[in-house]
Amino acid sequence: MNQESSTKNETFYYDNQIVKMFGIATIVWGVVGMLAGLLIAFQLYFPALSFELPYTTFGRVRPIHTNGIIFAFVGNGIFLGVYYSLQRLLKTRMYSDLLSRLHFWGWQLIIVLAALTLALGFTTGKEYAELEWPIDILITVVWVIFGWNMFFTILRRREQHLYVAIWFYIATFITVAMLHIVNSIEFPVHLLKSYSWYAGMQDAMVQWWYGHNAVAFFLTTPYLGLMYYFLPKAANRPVFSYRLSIIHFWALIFIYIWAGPHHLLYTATPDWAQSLGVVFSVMLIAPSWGGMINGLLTLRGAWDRVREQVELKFMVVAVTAYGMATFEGPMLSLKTVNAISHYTDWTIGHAHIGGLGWNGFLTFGILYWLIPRLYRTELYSKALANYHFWIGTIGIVLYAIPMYWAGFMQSAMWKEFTPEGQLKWQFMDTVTAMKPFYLLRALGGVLYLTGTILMVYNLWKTMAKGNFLAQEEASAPPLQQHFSNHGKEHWHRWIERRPVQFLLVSLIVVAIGGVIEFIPTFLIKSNIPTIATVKPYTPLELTGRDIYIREGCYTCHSQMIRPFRSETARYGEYSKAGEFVYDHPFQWGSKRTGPDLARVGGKYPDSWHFNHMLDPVSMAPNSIMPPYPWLFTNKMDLKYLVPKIKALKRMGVPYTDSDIENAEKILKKQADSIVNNLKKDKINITNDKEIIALIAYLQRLGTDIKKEKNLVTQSN
Amino acid sequence: MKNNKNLIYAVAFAFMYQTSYSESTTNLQKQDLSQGFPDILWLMVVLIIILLIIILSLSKVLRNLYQSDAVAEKLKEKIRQKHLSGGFLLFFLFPGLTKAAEPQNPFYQYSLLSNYSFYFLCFVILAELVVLYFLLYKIKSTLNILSGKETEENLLSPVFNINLAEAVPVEREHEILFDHEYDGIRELDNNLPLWWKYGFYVTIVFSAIYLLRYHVLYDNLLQEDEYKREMEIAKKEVDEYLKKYSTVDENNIVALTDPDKINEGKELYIANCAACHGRNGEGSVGPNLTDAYWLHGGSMKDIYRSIRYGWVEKGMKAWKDDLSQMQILQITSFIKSIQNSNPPNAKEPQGELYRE
Repeated sequence: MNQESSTKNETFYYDNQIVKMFGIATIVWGVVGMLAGLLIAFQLYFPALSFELPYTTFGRVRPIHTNGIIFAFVGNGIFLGVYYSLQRLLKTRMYSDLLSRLHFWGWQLIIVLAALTLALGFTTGKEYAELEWPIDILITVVWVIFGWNMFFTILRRREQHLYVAIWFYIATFITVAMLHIVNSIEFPVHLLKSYSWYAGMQDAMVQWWYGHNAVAFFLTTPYLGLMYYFLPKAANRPVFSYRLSIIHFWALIFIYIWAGPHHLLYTATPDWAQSLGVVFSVMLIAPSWGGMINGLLTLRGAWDRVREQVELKFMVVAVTAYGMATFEGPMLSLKTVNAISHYTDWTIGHAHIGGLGWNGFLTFGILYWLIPRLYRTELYSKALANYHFWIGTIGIVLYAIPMYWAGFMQSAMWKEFTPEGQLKWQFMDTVTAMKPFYLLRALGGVLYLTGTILMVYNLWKTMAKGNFLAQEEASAPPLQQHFSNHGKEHWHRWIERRPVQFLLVSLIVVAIGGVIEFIPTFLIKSNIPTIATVKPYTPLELTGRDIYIREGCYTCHSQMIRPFRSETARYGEYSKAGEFVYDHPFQWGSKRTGPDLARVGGKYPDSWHFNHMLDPVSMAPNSIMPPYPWLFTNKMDLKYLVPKIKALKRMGVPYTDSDIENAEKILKKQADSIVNNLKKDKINITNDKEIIALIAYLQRLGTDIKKEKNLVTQSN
Repeated sequence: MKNNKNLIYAVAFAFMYQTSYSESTTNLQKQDLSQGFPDILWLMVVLIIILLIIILSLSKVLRNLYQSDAVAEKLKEKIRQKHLSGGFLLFFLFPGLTKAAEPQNPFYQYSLLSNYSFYFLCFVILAELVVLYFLLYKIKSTLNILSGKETEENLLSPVFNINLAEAVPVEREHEILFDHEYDGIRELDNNLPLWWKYGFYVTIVFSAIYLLRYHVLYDNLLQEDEYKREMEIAKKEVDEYLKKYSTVDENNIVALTDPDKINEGKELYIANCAACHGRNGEGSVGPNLTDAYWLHGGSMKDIYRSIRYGWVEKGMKAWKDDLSQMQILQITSFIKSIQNSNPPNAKEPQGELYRE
């Protein structure tokens, strides 16, 4: 071998500083996100913990928890792992230190802005995409910086081929960009208020295409990439099967995109879309499990090390939890199972097997492996890490089992009829039955967080005694400009040395599913049969709807009655797609901690709603809903009333010019009639308070379709 | 292995088809199947033909093997030593056989098939599977002998001796180690685990059949029809029950006198009505129920009907889906019992004076 001619090593430095920054951010946001989760978990048992403050009420804290865990904790976890592994897998430093820092500080800025705006009630009302449009733009910019930095690092690599972890990073980058941009198209009213471009059923399709694939391409594919780097590194074993990596990678990213509609089974989405959601979910089992078995079988011959190395223990549980969640997911996508599980805590249990088990434990495993290496020392306490492992594992079990039990039980109670044909349980009975499970779940959360705090202490001590190396020297031969393979090679190697083609092919593969599902949804009229009596919201109702969105009511209340006897008996006629055509954004919800509200309009007198929002227990004994006293003192914000109506008109909601001119007058008139109604029941309030608007909105919900019936009976 | 594949396809297809069939049609009545396709008969015949083709092609493979000179000698001694006692084990692998004594075949309501022909066809398929199994066993053992591999074959090996992960053992993995490495990470060239690969195929076949049944053949009901079906069945059940047990005649509502019953009515009232009408019927959000003034009539029948069917536009919901006729009668009787009770904080009278 002639060492001199072609393989003269170049010396360069890995940027460990940026890895450390993302590592610390991961730890800090992890604790913050979990604390938010713990607060809302306890609120379901002790409603007083909402403190009667807008900022600490469930509907606002829940988005802080979900966004915090997904984008702050796991997000920083992704960047931590990517920045460490990418440099080493490509034998080069990150392309630009400036871009790395911009990426880091930009992302932390987004997180802080997100937490502030969500607490203050600025939200788009779309799950996991609640952030308002300026932050959406900031996310896009920072994400592009990340992709730019990553891609130019790839182009400047000293390694001919891209390792499987990097395939996953590339697919993550391009797909998240696509999902975020398409789902965030919204019409700004002012700096912190916008309306989703899509309405009703179409909004639901886009949102769950996004929501489902946020799970797929933010919580799954980047973490699979991390698994492919850190698991073989920690176990010091070769990856089980290269061919399995290829097949499961491409199958996974292709199939995942299609499965979104399984969040909308039995709703007012077209049957064909639902069926696509079902079958693509079922076909996802094998590609998902491909990742699991490639991870677990990589440990063949190294199981003795799993006993010794605590980071491997975390990784094994993480990969196993991944396997469990990705088997359970397709099962929940079968219509028969979904009819039971949807809207219940079963879904919450499922999501937390993924979140606590897969993302949480893999992050912990990586941190335990990485921090001592970055600080060139041993872990401060192996015993403490072992305690963390066991406390965390018990925490997951204690979280998941009550949720499964609760979900199944509540669903069974919702569906039970007496032989005489009456619903056996009032909704409140089913809520009361959930309370012990909510308490147990919160205790599971306490255990999990306790474990995490042990880790924080352990890693902090490790950092304190270690000696951090910001610039790590490495050397490798330069990339040969003209690659010639010697003899036979696997066909897939071709694309592994062509990152640009890899990116483009990935984009095409992930775009197919969305394109095929969306084009008919938007173009074929028969998917949304129109209902003549469905009219746009009045100015007062619109104002109320924005309050409904602001307070995050959709986190506990659905607005979608499924075509089941148990639901039509409880809530009224099942929901039709045509009823939601003016809903920017849709508010179908995904969980029924409280009852469905799709047809709550006219069900109770105005005074009932008034009392109920002020003190829920007075109207609904045993209710766990928090009170909303600020709605009774806040004045309606009418400054943007006309711009709001104009924005909706621009998106096709048929408001007339006189509607817009007289908006405030129309609003006052409707408000006065509600004030008069309340007066009859001895309630005195002025017509400018937010509660009046909210009552108007609630009383409108689901009533349009009844007018159609009246029309029919009149004409008969 | 190629041959195994076909077999697995066929079995998987039949299995998936039948599962999706039974899942969807549990609530169907027999008459609905007069549309009656695709009949199970059709499926079984196709399966029999497919199996037959596989058997014929496999037996040809085996014959060719035997005819090759190189093999002949090696085979002669080996084959004589083998015995076939394990074959009987097969019967335990098919629990279906022991169930054959059931009075009706499981698909009787969906098929024009008589029991006799159903079990006959089952038997044919089973017999074909047995033959197929022997063929596969023979081929595999012959091939093993040919390649000089003297493994501990037994009769069940074609089924159970598949290495589930089809992985090269750890001790020999250097043979399949790729020469590339990334930051010290190496990769092996292990086969796709068989169960994984076939599992994947099965889900794909499932999906094709699923879409076919819902959207092409319309065998399974889409949600709107499913809902109609559910409501019809429920209505029938409830009507039958009420015919037998109903105690309340809506045209002749008579107040209950049994104090226990009225007390139950009071409990129901407090649980369901007190939030709006007050704990003592004094009225709050809803009207006072203790005075002589009524918005919708104050007779037993009027009150009963107001509760059962509601006055939805005025905020009184219909309770017919929540409370039974007897429960509503109990509440009505309780309300009658508190007439003129003059509770504190009573709401002003609303509606018209009603006199018995």
